[in-house]
Amino acid sequence: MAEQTVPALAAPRRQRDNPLTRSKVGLAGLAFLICMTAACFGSLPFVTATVGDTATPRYNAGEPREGRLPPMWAPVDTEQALSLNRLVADKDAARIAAEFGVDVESARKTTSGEVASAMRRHWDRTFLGTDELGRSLWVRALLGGAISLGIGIAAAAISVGIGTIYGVIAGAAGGRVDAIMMRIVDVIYGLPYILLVVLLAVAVDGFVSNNAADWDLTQSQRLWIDLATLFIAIGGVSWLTMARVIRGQVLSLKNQPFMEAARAIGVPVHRQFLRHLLPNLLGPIIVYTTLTVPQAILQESFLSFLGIGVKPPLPSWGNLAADGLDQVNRHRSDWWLLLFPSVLLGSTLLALNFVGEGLREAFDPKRERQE
Amino acid sequence: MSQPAPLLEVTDLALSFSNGSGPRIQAVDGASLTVYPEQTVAVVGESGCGKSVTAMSMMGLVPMPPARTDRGTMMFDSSSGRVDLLKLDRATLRRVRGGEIAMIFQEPMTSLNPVLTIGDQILEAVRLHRGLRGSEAESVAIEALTEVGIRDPERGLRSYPHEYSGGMRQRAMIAMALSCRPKLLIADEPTTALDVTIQKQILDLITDLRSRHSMAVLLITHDLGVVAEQADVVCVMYAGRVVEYAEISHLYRRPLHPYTRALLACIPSLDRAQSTDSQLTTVSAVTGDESEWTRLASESGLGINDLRPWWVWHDAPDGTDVETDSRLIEVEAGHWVRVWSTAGVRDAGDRLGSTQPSLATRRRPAGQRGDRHAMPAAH
Repeated sequence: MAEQTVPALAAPRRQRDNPLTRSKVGLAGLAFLICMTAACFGSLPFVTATVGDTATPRYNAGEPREGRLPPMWAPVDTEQALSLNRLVADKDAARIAAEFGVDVESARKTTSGEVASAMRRHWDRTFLGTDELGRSLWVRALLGGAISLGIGIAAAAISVGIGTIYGVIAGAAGGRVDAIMMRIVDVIYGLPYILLVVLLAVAVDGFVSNNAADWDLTQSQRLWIDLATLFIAIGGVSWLTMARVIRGQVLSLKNQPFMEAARAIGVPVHRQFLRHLLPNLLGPIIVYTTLTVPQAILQESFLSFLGIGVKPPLPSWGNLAADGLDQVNRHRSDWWLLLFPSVLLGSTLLALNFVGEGLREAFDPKRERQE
Repeated sequence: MSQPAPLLEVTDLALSFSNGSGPRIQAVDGASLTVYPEQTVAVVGESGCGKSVTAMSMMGLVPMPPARTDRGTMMFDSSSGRVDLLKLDRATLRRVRGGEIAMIFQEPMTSLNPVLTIGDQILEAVRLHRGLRGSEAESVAIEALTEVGIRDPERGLRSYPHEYSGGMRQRAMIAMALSCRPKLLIADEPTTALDVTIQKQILDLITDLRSRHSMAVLLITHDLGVVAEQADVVCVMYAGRVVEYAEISHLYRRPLHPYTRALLACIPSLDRAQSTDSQLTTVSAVTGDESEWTRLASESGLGINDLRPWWVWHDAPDGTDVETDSRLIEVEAGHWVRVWSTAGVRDAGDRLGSTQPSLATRRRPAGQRGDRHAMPAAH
C-alpha cells in the first residue's frame, strides 16, 4: 500500500561518452609513450648483457676502430663506405656478392644501392650509427631512455607523494598551520630550484664518496645510489606546485555539502579524508603527475647535460645529447649523435604533455560538450 | 491525553559566532522547542534566522570555534538514556550522529560524494551504525533504496550520483539516512532545490516513511505550503529566536505574532493580486492585531501595555531592551509567543504559563489530512 504513494523511478542509464578517449592527440601521445616505455625497458636485458672477452656491458662495448659510423640507412660517401664494408666478415661479403651477382671486391666498393645496405645491415650496431668510441648509439639511446624515463617517473612519484601529503595536511588543518606550511612553500619557491638540486646532488654524492670505502659498496650499488640521489633531489624540489594545487582542492572540497553529509552520518575524521576526500583528488593528482614526469625528465637531462646528473659511461638522453653536441662542429658533423637523442627526448616530452593536457581536459568539470 | 516522553527538548539555546576581530554574531538567541516521537515539527523562518544552525548544532556539525554555545540545553532521548547533545563525548556523538539522528540536506546535487557509488555511501552508514557486513549490509541498503522508490535497487547501488537526477539523489540521501533506523530525521530544506512535482513526491515519501519507521521529523523550511502539508507543530523563528510555537491548524487560524501574520500575509493569492494592483505584501508592512492582544492581556490579568509581542520592528516598551528582554510564554493553551519581558510579565512569572513549548499532538492518520487549500489568508 505504502509503495503506491510514490511512483518508482527508472534506474539510471550509464553514460556513454567517455571523456578520457575524447582527446585524439592525447591518445596518440599515450600510444607513443607505451611503445617508447616498452622499447626502453623491454630492451634492458639486451643492452646491459655483457659481451666480448672483457665482459663489458653491451651499452659500453665498442672499438674506436668502429667509431663515428653513420646510421646504416643514411647515404655515405666512398671513403665511409669502404671503411664500413671492410668491417663485414669475408664470408658474409661473399654471400652478399653472390646474391647480387657481383664479385666481392666490387661489392665492397659499392657506396650506395641495395648491395651497400645489405652489407651494412649485417652489422646491427650501425642502426643509429656509433659514437667516437664505437659504441652503438641505438643501444645507448635505449638504455638512456630507460634511465631518463625511470628517473622521471620516480622523481614525479616522490614529488607527487610529498606534495599530496603536504597539501592534504595543510588544507585539512587550515588556519595557522596552513598559513605556516604555505609560507614555507613560498620560501622554497623563491629559491632557484636548480641550485637546490645541484646542492642536494653534490652533497649526497660527496657524502657517499667519502664513505664508499667504509660501506664496502659494489660498483652497481654505487650506481644505484647515484641514480637515487638524482631522482630524490629532483623530486624533493618539484613537489611545491603539487602541494599548492592539492591544498587548494582540499580547502574547497572539505566545505562541500557531501563532506558535511559524511560528517552527518558519523564518518570518523580519518575516513572522511581517506575515503571521501582523497578519491576526489585523484583527478588533479593524475593530471599533475603526467605533467610532472616530463618536467622531471627535462631536469634530469638538463643536469646530465651540465655534467652533474647521470655519470658516464651510463647514458641518459641528456648526456647523449650533450656528447652529440660536441660532435657537431666546424671540422665534422656526426649529426646522428645529436639528432637522435634530442628527437627521442623531445618527442617523449611532447607525448607526455599531450597526455597530461588530454587528462586535464577530461577531468575539467567545466569543459564544453561540443559534440 | 497522557503526554509521552519528549524525544528532543531544546531549551533556550544561544549560539554565537566570532569572525576574528569583529563583535560576536549571535546566530541563535533563545531557541526552544520540543519534538515528540513520531511527530513532525516544522521550523519556519527567513534566511539567517538561525533555523539551520539550530539543526546543525543538534548533529554537532557547527564548528567550534568559531562558534560557541552561550547557554541552553538540548536533551535527547538516546538509546543510552537522556543526553545533552551539546555536551556529548566523542564516542556517544559518533553513535548518535547518523545512527539515532540522521539528516538530509538542501542540495541533493552536491550532498552525495561524486566519486563514490550510491551503494558505497549507503553501505558506509549501515556498517558504521548497524555493524552489518557483506551481504547482510547490502540487503539492508537494497531494502532502503526500494523503500524510497528507486527501481532496480541492485543496479542503483552500483550507480554514481551523476547518473541520478536531483529527485533521485534526494531519495538516495533519504535512503542513506533511513538505513540506520534513526529516531529523529532532520530535514534541512529538503525540497528547496527541487521542482514542485518532485517536491511533493519527496515530502510524501518523508511522511510515509515517518509513520512506517515511527521516527520523528524536524522539518526546516521557509515554505509555508510545505509546512501546511506536512507538519504537526510549527515553530516560527525570527532573528535567532523562536517567536511562535503552536499546532499547525491553530497557527494558521490564529497567528498571534506579527511576524507569523506577516509570513502568512505574504503568501501570494490570486484574488488578492487582482484586487490590490498586484502589490504583494512585505513582511515589515504587517503589524500586530491590537484587539487580539488586548484580550490576551486582560485574560492574564495584565495591562494592555504589559503584554506585547516581541519583535524588532516594534519599539521596545519602557524599561526593556530589544536584545535581552524577551520571553517565550504560553499566552493561551497550546500557543507560545515571544513577548516583551516587561515589568508586568516579570512580576507575573510562572502564573503566565510555561516557557518551554511542548505539544505532543500528532496529525490524524493519512486520508483525513488537512486540505492545503483550506489555508486561511491572513489580512
